[in-house]
Formats: sequence, structure tokens, C-alpha cells
Amino acid sequence: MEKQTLEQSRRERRKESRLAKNASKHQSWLLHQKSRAMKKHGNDSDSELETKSKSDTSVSPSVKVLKEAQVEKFESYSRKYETDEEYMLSEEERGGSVAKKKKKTKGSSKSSGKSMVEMGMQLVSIAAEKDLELERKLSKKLKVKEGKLRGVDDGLNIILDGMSSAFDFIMGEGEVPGTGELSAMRLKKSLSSKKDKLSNKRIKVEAVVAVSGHVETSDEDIESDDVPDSVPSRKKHKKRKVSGQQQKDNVEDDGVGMSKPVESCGKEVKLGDAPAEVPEKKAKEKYIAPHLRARAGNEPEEHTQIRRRVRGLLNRLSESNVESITGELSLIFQSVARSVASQILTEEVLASCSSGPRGNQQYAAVFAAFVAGMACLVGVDFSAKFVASFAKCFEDEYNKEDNLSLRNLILLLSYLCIFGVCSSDLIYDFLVMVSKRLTEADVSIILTLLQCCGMKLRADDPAAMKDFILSVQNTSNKLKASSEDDNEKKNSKRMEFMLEIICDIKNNKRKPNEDSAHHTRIKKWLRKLRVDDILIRGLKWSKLLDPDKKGQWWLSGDVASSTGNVEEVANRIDKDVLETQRMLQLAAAQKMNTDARRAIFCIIMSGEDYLDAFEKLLRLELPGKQDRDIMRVLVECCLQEKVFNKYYTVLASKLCEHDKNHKFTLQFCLWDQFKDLESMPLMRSMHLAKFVAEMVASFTLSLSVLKTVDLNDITLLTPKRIMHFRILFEAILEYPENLVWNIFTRAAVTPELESFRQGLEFFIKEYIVKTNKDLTQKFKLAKRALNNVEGILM
Amino acid sequence: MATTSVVPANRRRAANPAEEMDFETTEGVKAIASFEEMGIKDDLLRGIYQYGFEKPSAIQQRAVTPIIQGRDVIAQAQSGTGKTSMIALTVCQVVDTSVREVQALILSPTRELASQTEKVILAIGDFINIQAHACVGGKSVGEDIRKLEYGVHVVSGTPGRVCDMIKRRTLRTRAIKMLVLDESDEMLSRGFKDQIYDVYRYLPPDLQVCLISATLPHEILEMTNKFMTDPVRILVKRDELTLEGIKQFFVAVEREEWKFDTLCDLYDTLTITQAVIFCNTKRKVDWLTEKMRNNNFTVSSMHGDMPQKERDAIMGEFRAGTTRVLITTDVWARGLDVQQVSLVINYDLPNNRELYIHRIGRSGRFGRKGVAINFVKSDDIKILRDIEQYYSTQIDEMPMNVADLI
Repeated sequence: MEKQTLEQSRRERRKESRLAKNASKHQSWLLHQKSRAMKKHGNDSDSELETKSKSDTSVSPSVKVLKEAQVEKFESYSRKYETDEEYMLSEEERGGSVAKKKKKTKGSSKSSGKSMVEMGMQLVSIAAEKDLELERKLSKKLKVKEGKLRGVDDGLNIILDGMSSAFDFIMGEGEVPGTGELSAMRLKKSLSSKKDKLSNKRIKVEAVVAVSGHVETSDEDIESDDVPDSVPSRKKHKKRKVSGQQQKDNVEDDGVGMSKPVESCGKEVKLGDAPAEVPEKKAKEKYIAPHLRARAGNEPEEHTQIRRRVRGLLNRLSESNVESITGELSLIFQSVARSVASQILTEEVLASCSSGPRGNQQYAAVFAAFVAGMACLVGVDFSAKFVASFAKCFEDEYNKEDNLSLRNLILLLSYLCIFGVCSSDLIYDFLVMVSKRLTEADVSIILTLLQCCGMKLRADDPAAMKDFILSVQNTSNKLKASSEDDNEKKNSKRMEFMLEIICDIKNNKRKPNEDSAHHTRIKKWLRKLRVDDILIRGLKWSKLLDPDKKGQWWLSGDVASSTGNVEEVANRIDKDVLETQRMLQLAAAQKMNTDARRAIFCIIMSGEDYLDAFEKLLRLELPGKQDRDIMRVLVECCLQEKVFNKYYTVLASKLCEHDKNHKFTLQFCLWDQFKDLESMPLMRSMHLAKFVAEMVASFTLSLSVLKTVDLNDITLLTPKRIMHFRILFEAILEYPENLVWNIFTRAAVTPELESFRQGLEFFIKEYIVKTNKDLTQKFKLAKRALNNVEGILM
Repeated sequence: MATTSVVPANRRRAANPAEEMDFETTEGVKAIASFEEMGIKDDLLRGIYQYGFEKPSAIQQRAVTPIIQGRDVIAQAQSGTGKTSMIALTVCQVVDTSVREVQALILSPTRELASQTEKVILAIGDFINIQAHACVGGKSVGEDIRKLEYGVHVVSGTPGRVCDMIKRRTLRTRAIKMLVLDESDEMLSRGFKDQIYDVYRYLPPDLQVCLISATLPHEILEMTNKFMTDPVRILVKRDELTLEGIKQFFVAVEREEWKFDTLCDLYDTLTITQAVIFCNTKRKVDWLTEKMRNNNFTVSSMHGDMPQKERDAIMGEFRAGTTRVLITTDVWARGLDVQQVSLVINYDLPNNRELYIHRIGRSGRFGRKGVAINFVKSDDIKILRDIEQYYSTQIDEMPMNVADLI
């Protein structure tokens, strides 16, 4: 195969040399002959093929290869025609550009030359491409079994290509000597032609690819070749689809863009509408006198009318007509749904109280009385919902820092408490909450509230008042510790005033408001309506603000828990009844012959601890001299115990601390007991001695309580008296030394007690030290204390 | 009774603009923002807080300090801005309570105003043991004599009775160091000027003089040169007199007979704490009072023909809140202070422009907005526009949703 290819190339070279020689003689003649030779060669090749096919059936593959070669030739011819058409178009354009006729003629000749040169170049490029393709095919086919057979065909193609390129070179050389003068122009044009060639190459490449595709598709026998080609075609299709999708996306984008301006146009329309509406509203809602009026409103007509009637009546409300107006409003309340009526009334009352100018106590009192009256007439739920709305309104105004509104609301809250709408424990809870903040506004709130109903709060619950006062003092101390000097100056005045009022209330120095007398009429009216039944107890301020409260939340405790506690409550009731009966029996046995004494007895005996008993005794508020019975009953209970109980001494100390009158009463009571020492049973006498010792040791009483007893006169010292006072002084001397010293020093300070002190020394020396040597040291200590006139405590 | 002054309009309008420029607020007057910083006594501060003041108003911020320092002061401020309490405050601060002699004299054009000032002095001075006496006509002369001989620190009175007491030697003037003329434009007008001069003659020569009013016409300011020494002027321009804190509306009722229906409808439309209704004649006051009582309103009414005791009782009722409506003529218009008034209704428009500002000054106190509503008949529109121009203010027709605007 290789030898054959070499031979063919040699033949081509020989032919070229021959043609060159002939060209030197006659160009035109040679051209004609060349074309004829081309045709002849074609015919020869066809005949050769036919002969070969007829002679040998075994050479069928070679036949197919040859057919392919023929197809390629035809295609190459069609390419030439196409290129010619392109050249003609370009020539026309160039001709048009030249104005002069001479140039046109020259241009035509030049253009013809150019076209020839271009054709030659194209042929060369085509040949190169073909070679590349052939190499590729060879590489593929070599992989395939039939690769070797195609080597011969490649040689044939090379020969043909070489011939065409040779023709081109000849033509170029022929032109040069004829047109030597215009060489410069040709160079320029050739440059431009080169550019065209480059672009043409690209086009050819694409065409070649397409052609190759067609060729391969026609080959049915070679399946392996089709597979790789089909894949790129599919890829191309995918690309086209993708591009199509992109176009669709672009369309969608355009649609979105279109829709957006549409939306913006809509917005603009809306914006345009807004200013138009405002003047319409203004025009419509111009005030018109009632006889000229047309109706308009946002609320349902019925609700609007009710609100107007309510507002009109509340605007008329005063102390003189609160009864009739409350009656009218209760009728309105019952004519509509409860929630609607309750809401409207609550809103209107709060608006009247909070948003008006600085209100006075009378104004707040009248509205509070109205709320109380409504609660009596239509139900507790009204006042409960009102108080809840009040709490919310208060928090809103507090956040707005509207001090004027806060003051008005606080006055209303005070009178709600005074008239029995809400109990004092709610107010205390509120006060404790406020006292933990103590800003300027909080101080004003506390001031206003205490000025208005501080004494009532104290009367209702002294212990809660104490807790509140402690809370205020703690907070104010913290503020003083942490605040700057400037802040102190600002806050100190108002804070001082508040603390002074609190101290006055604590010490019960503040006189009740004179205004309270003015509300007697209101209170009578409310009492007639049984205002006691509507008192809301057990509420916390946080409960009022809780948005999740449901059902009848104002009742004490939740419904579910109350059912659970029924049994416990029943047990407590039973126990209370039993204990009460037992207490009454004991009181009877102890000769408690008056209601006051029985009450005192029951309290003392059933108190949980001395503080509990103390507070309950204070609440009795016994009039006039009846409070003296407290000490008498207390001492009596102590002396009747089987075993001495220190509870009574602690309670007595507490009472004496609280009121000096109790101290005097106790002293007189003890003196009365000393008078009965002769007839007193031993156990009782012992308890009395211990009681007195405890009183002296706790400094509730002084040793001088014994000054009415003459310890000097031996004739008066009967065995029972000696026994009693021995027990007393032994108990005293059993205390620690510093306590003994202080007890006896207290008796040493007063000059008038000289004889008493001598009596003490005599008695202790004679009747105690002689019988109990262990107390000698304590006695010496006591003796020195009795001479301690300076009163220096240990 | 005292009648309102009627200064010819030509004089007022013809005032020389160049000269007006001389009377402006004195430079260097500083605004002090809290009572503590003014150097007020502690016990007086306690009384101030208990009375309900939170912080000083604009006029109080500027005028209290110069007065305390002993300067002559001309203070002009709109109604409802704390002028009366400013007088009470400065008097309580200046007076030495350990000296049982009259040390401050306050003159007012009406009995109600003089009594009002006395009550405010006593209220603010609740903790400093101040003795104040209202020396006004219509009350027992014997009572005045006993009170003055007992010894008081401050006298608040009307010029006629005060002059009488001075001439009787009951009111001794040797210790007086401060003279306050409340409602100065009225006091220095033709009606009272002679009486003021009679009182002034008896006072010590180094007296401190303070003029207080909502309106101070130019000729009054000129007059002050004769008896004041280098006064500190704290003036508010006329344009600012009615703008702050008061919303003004008018309702076109067209006919007189329709005013009452409109009034009842307002009470169904607005939320009203306490209201003052002004009428121009006593007969109309009585008529309206009767009609409103028939509508279950609790009403107080007052006019010039009533005896002094009755007027005092009525004022007490209204101030205490026992009644919530006060129907009155202009006898009540000047300077009286009821903190709860939220609405002023001009059932009739006032007869002159000065009365308008005194009337509507009854509402909008303590910084809370007040409302003034004018009932206007067809032929009243011109008067209303004249008032608008005079005070450079705006009186709108009342909108339907007025309840929401307030």
C-alpha cells in the first residue's frame, strides 16, 4: 500500500513539471487542455472502477470506499459553485464603490484575478481540512478492523488535491509579469483578501462538519461510526432547548417587569385616593346643630345612641342626683347586652375621670359612688370589669407619664375602696408594687392615695400597713444609697413629705379627712343598696392586669380549686365551731361574766402565737376603760395554768410596749394580787412570782413594782409572803450576772426608793442567802448594784 | 358695682408703633424650671406640692425670682397660666410671718377675685402660718376691723374698702413693702385710677410694685413710669394670648331659640367635667338656669345683683364640685380659678373684645387642654371674625368629631 502511494506522488510531480513546461508556450491553450484532461481523468477513473467491480466480487469493500470518494468529489464541486457566487457578490460591491469607468474596467480585471487567487487559496485550505478529516477517520478506522484498506484511498485523494493546488500556483505566476506596475495595489488587496479567507475558513469548517454528518448517516453498515456523531447532535438539540428556555425566561421577566409597573400604578392610584378621602371626611363630619343634623357614625347606631345617653347622664352626675342617674343608667344597662353596656359605661367613666382637668375629691367620690351603686343594682361583674379596665388604664397613663391623669385615677381608686367596691388588700398590693419603684410619679401616687384613704387602710389592716411601710423604707434607703447628689435634691422634698405622712399614719396622728362627713349621704344610700355584698376580696393587682383571666375571675379563688377545698373548709368550720364552744365553756368556768372579758379570753387562749393574739386584741378596739380588762384577764389566765407558761409574759410585754396604759394597768393588777397573797393557793403564788420575775427581767416593769410591799417589817412577813418573795428573788438571782446587775441598778437610781432598797437587802440576806449559800455571790453583786447611784449598766 | 372699661377703639388703634417697641420683655429674664431652684422655703414648697403644682408655669418661671428679689415687675400672661398662684407664692415667700403686721397688699377689681387670691394664699401657705384677710365690700366692716387689729400678714382687697380701712387707721401701712395690682388694666382704667391713687398715697415710699394682667394696653404701660422704678417687664405679645392650651370653636345655631337644644346636645357629645356658661344679661342667666335644672343638671348661677354671701356660697358649691355647671355674667369672668373647668360656653358672644380672653381663660388650666365653644347667630359672625383678627387666633367651626379632637 505504501509503495503505491509513493508512486502516485512521483507521477504527480512529473505531471506538474510537464504542465509547467507547456505553460511557458501558450497560457490560454494550456488552460483548455487542462480542463479537458480533468474530464478525461474522471472518465478513466469511472471506467476503471466498473471494470474492477465486474471482475472481482471479493473486492466489495474497496468498491464502497471508492463510492465514498466519488461522493466527496461531487460535494467539492458544489462547494466551488457556492464560493463563486460569493465572489460575484463581492465583485459587484467593489464595482459600485468605484465611480470612474476606467477604474471599473481595471477593477473588473483585478477582481477576476483576485477571485482566481482566492479560489486557489480556498482549494489549498480545503485540501488541508480534508487531510485532517482523513487522518481522524483513519485513526478511528485503524481502531476498527478495516483501517488498513483505506490507506490506498488516502493516497488517491492526496494526488487529486495536489493537482488542484498546482493549477493555482501556475495561474498566480502567469499574472505577475503582465501587471507589474500595480504590485503595490495588489499587495493591499491581498491583505484584505486574507481576512476574507479567514472568515471563509470558519464557514467551511461548519459546512464540513455538517457534510460529514450527512455522509456518515448514509452509511448504514458502519454502526460504530454513527454513535459518537449522534451524541454531539443531541447535545446541540439540548443547547437549543436550553436557549429556548432562556428565551421563555426572558419572556417571563418581561412579564414580571410589566406586572411590576402595573402594581406600582395601582399603588399610585391608592396614594392618589388617600388625600382625596381626607377632605371628604372633614366635609362630611362638620358639626351641625341638632335640628340640622344628618346621622353618621362608625359604631352600630344602637351603640352610638347608648354611648351618647350615657355620656349625657355622666356629664350631669353629682352628689345630689347620683341616685336618680344611677337608676337611669341601670335601666340602660339592662336594655342591652351586658358586655356591651359594661364596656360603654366603663369607657365613659374612665374617660371622664382620667382625661379631664385636675379633679378634686368630690368629683372622684361621686363617680366611685356611681360605680358602687351600679354594682349593687346590676351585679358584681360590672364593678369587677370596671376595676380591671381601671388597672389597664392606669398602666397606660403611667407609661405615658401623665401625672395629672394618674392623680385623678388614684383619687378614684381611693374612693372605690372607701365606698366598698374593692377591699383594702387590693390597695395594699398596689401600694407595695408602687413602693418598690418610688420614682417621682410613684411618690406622688403614694402621697395622694394615703392622703385620701390612708387612715381607712390602716384601720382595715394594720399588719399590711406595716409591711407596706417597711417596703417603702427599704426602697427609699436603697435609692438614697445609690442616687447622686442632684437626684437627692430633687427627690428629697417630695420623698420627705411622703415619709412624714406615712409616719403620721403609722403613729395614728393623722386626723381623718373632714370631707368624709360630707359623704354620709352617699354612704347611707349605698348601705341601703347593701353595698357590703358587692365587696371584691382577695384580688391582686397583677390579677387585674392578667389578659388570660377567664370566667368569673373576681370570685375568691378559682372555681375548680374551690370545689377541691370544700372538704377542707368544712373541716375547718367544724373545728372552729367545736373550739368556739369549748372556749366559751372555759370562759364561763373562769368567771368571764361580760362580753368583753369573754372575747379577750377567747383571743388569748386561741391565739396562734403572741403576735397573733396581740393583733386581735388591738382590733377589738375596746371603748373607754374596757381595755383594762385585757391585763386582768391575761394575768388571771397565767395564774390558773397548771404549769407556768411564758406565753403570757411575752404577750404582756408586747402590750406594754404598745401602750403605756397597759403598763399602768398591769402594775395595779399586780398590786391587787399582792393584797391577796395570804389567801392565794401555793401554785398560783408560784406562777405570780415567776410572772413578776419575767416582767422585771424583760424590763417591762421595774423592781419598784414591789415598793408597796414592806419587806422590812418582820411582823408583816407571814410564811406565805416569805415563800412567795423567796421564789421571786431566787428566780431573779438565777439570771446572768449582767442582767441581775441591770435589774437592781434600775432600783438604785431613784432617791425616793432608799427605804425600799434597805428592805430588799434585808429580805434577801435574811431569807434567801441563809438558806441558799450558792446565791451569796449574786447577792453581793446585787448589793453593789443597789448602791450604784450613777446607774451604770453592765 | 364696677363696670368694665370702655376705652375708645381709636386711641388703641392709633398707638404709635415706634413707641410700642419700647415696651418689650426685659432682657436677662431667665426661666427657672423648678420651684426648688427658685430658693423657695421648705414649708412653702410643701404647701405648693400639696396644692397640686408639679412645676412652675411659664410666667412663674420668669416672674417669681425678680419679685422675690424685690424688683418692680410688670407681668403679662394669658389666663390660666398661674398668675394668681404666682402672686400667692411670692407674697408667702416675701412676708415675715413672725411680724404680725400687714406686709403685702394685693388689690383686685372684684370681690370674687380678692377672695380668691386670699384663699390661694392660705392654701399655699398652709404650713407657714400665714395670716391673710380679704378686705372687700359687701362684708361686715366690724369684722374687717377685728381681723385687721388681730394682725394679718397679707391683705387682699378691693380698692374702695382698702382705702376706707386705711383712712380709719385700722389698716396700718408702715410695714407694707409690696403692692400687687391684679388685673392691672382694669385697675388703672378710669374707673379705679382715683381709688388706686388714694391708696398709693398712704404707702411707704420705697414700696415694691407689681402689675399683673392678661391684657396690658399701651396707655397703661405708659402710666407705669410714674410710680414704678425701673420695672422688669415680662410681656407676652397679644398674638400669643389665646393660642396655647385652649381650642376654640363656634357653632352656627342661626337662631336664638336653637341655642338651648345645641347646649343639651353638647352635653351628650362631649365629656365635660365642669363647665362655665356665659350669658350677657341677668335675665338670661336666670332663664337658662331654670331650664337646665328642669333637664336634671345641677346648676349654679351668679350675676351682679346677688348679695355677696350668696355669691360666695355659689362659688363654694361650684369649686367643691357639688354643682358641675356655673351660669354667669361677666362679673365672674376675671381671674377666678377653678381647676376642674374643662369647657367654657359663650352662650352669648361678649360685648367687647377684652372680655373674650377673660372668659375663655376659665378652661385649660394646669397644662390640660381646655375648650371654648361660641354659639353664633347669623348676625354674630362679624363679631367673631373681629375677635379672631384682634387676637390673631383661629376659631374654627366645630366639626362633628369634636369629641375625638379634644
